[in-house]
Amino acid sequence: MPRSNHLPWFKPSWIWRYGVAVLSVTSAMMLSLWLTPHIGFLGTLFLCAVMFSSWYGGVGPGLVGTTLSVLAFHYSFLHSPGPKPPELPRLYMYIVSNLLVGLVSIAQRSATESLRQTRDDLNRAGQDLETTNKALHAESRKREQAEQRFRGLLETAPDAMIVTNRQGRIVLVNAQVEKVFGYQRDDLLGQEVEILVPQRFRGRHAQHRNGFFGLPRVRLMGEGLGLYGRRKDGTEFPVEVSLSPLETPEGTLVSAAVRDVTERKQTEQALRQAQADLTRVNRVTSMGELTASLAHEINQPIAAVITDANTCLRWLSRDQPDVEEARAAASRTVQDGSRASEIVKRLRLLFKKDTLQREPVDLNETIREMLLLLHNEAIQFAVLIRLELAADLPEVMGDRVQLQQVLMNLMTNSIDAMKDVDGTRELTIQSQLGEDGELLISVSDTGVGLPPQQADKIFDSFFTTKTQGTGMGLSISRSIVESHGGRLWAAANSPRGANFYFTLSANVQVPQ
Amino acid sequence: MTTTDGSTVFVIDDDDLVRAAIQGMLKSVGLQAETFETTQEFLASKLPDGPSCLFST
Repeated sequence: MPRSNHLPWFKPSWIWRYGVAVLSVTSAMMLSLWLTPHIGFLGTLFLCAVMFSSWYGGVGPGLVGTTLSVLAFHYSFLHSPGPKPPELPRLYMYIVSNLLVGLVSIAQRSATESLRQTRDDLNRAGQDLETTNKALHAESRKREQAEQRFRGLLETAPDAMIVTNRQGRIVLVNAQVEKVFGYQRDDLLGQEVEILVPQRFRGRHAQHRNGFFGLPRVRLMGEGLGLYGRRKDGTEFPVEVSLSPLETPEGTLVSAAVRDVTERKQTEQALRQAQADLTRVNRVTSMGELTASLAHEINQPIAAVITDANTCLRWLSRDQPDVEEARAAASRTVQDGSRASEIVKRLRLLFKKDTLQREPVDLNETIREMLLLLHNEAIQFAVLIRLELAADLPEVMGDRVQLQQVLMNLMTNSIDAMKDVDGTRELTIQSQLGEDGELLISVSDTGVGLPPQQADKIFDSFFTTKTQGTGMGLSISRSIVESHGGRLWAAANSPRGANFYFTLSANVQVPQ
Repeated sequence: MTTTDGSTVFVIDDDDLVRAAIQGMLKSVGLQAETFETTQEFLASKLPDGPSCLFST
């Protein structure tokens, strides 16, 4: 920074300083020579010259001025007309006073100079401060703008945005958070973010939060898991959360975008329900049609048996029994019976192996498909579903629809058995591969359990413990499993409920 | 329980066993029956002028 113009305060060159000293004394001398004849000798003029020389030029010129003045003074005394005062003491006094005046002038000059210097330094420091201040202002304005832009961005985001610090405390939220979670902004700031998580997930959430800071990157939270948020009133709703780290001067923060997916889940659920209903309707319709036509087919010969047997009795119970007619009626009865038996045989043929649709079936997949269909029912009756499926389960050759029917039947039974039970309601489905190459599937519940003393009857046709049951489910399931070369059996579950097991042979051959 | 006026019961059923059973039953109570597998067959037949009965399941 250039210094401002302080020309008189620059030390003038030595020629100037000494020149000025000589000039001052010379001027005083001239004036004194001119004035002395009129008003007598004026020593004061020389004092002024010394004062000026010292003030302007410093110590050297001051001494030169003093010396010259003393010489001039001496000369004036020697050559001035009139009475001569006692000479030496005056000369000494004169020298001393000249020196004193010179010293005082020098002291004054240097004091002024150092004051001036200090003032300059102060000015400079002040200017520096001002510049720094301006830069700081500009910086802080820039920051403020950046922060405003960030907040603006946060507010316009369609999702609820929550920014937390490493300790899991909420540092920033947007307006959507208020809408989605029902809290006021001020209720949340400084709180632990777990306040927005259902109680049962809080412990795990805190762990995962620490995990995120271990490897901070943009990602979806708990991908594939059903995540839930918790509103102020305690209600829960399904959410999707994406996380991203925010590097700030205060350390790493994490911003979470939370989206309420209730509607989407409902739509998905409705869609699944519709599909399930459709599948069920299809199955029920075809089953119903089959049953109706079977009933008619079988009922015809049976009705004929009854009619013919009655006719036979009537011929025989006449006053004079007509044996010929009775025989004719009896032989028709035999034909009717044979017909009925024939129909039943044809029916059984339907379930024979070679008429089944055979294709490779992944039972784990089938189990999951059926669970999707039963999802709603399980939720409705607060049944917890546990899957323990062997990862490397081989496929089986079988009729996909029939195997679905078996699983559906067993799971529905289990849920039905738990509907009226207090306490744990748990449906566990396991799949495993036995050492003999057979797949073992088990469906276990904590329901009412098998009927006591009648456990062996549950697979009989028309045996049921349900008010709405047909008594055909387990019977049909068993024939399906057996037609696939497997076995289906039941055992009591401990401490409560029932286990149903079935085996199927693994598909070792490459399907055609 | 015997036929008094020779009138006939017409029986229509697609199941031969059922037809035979009904015919036999009617005969045992003294009624004469004629059987048809289809309604078309019945309509195509020569119908009597007097009162008669039609039995169909």
